[in-house]
Amino acid sequence: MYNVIVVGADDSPTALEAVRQAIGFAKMSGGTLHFVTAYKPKPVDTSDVPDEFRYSMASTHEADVLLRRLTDLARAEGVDSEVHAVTSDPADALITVADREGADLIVVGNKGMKGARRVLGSVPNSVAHRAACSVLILPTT
Amino acid sequence: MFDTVVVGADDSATAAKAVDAAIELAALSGGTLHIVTAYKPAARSSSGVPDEFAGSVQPDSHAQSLLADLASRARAASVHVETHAHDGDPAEAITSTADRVGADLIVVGSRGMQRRVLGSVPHSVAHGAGCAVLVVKTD
Repeated sequence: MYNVIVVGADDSPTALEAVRQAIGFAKMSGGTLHFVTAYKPKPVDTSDVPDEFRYSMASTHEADVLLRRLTDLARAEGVDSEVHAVTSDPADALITVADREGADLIVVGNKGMKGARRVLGSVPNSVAHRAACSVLILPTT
Repeated sequence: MFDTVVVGADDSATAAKAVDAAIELAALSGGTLHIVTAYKPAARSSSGVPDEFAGSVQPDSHAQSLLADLASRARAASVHVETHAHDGDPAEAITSTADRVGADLIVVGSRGMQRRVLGSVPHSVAHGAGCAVLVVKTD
């Protein structure tokens, strides 16, 4: 039913909660999870860093560590996953990966959807309006 | 994972897709499905109708037959189902039912989402819900 499930993540507690629930959902539906994190590359000065350590200063490093952690969480529940670190705005990253992977579901947390923060530009709102597939908005706040 | 699933429906083909998705999920999770439809109370112009037929023009009779159809689809998938007909606004009908039955998932069709309409049902539900919301791609 839902075979290709895309879920967004950053290192916030609410994103982690969305990931936990998405893993539960993928376990239930038997789908593969695609973890997507968006990051901004920062210029890094590696001139003082010995060659053998330069890789650890790469701008994708934090994203990679996060994605590896999420993959471990999924594996612990017996859920297959793939990871995508994308240099763009979070909503664009989710839509892009979902389109490329032929996702049938995008999972997002509801941060920014409620109350005074009913912002049109929030990630869940933007994704819900633009997605070419179904979208599951999870309560994480 | 989802014990209490609420889905909104009218008699459109897109709503039927949302109901089918909700039935699948409720079957998978073993949850109870609540199907909600909203109707506008029609002006009770049964004045020209013979008394013995007045009962058939009750404003919610259409809603009731729609709900009966959809409920039978859910039962065919071995899903425990309850139905709710509300007069008034669809988004309000869905969210108030969800609150009352303690839903952990609301399922709505995506119709109206692409146009970024603030007043659309999925938009209002997604912003007003206290539980998970599945916006099923129906258009």
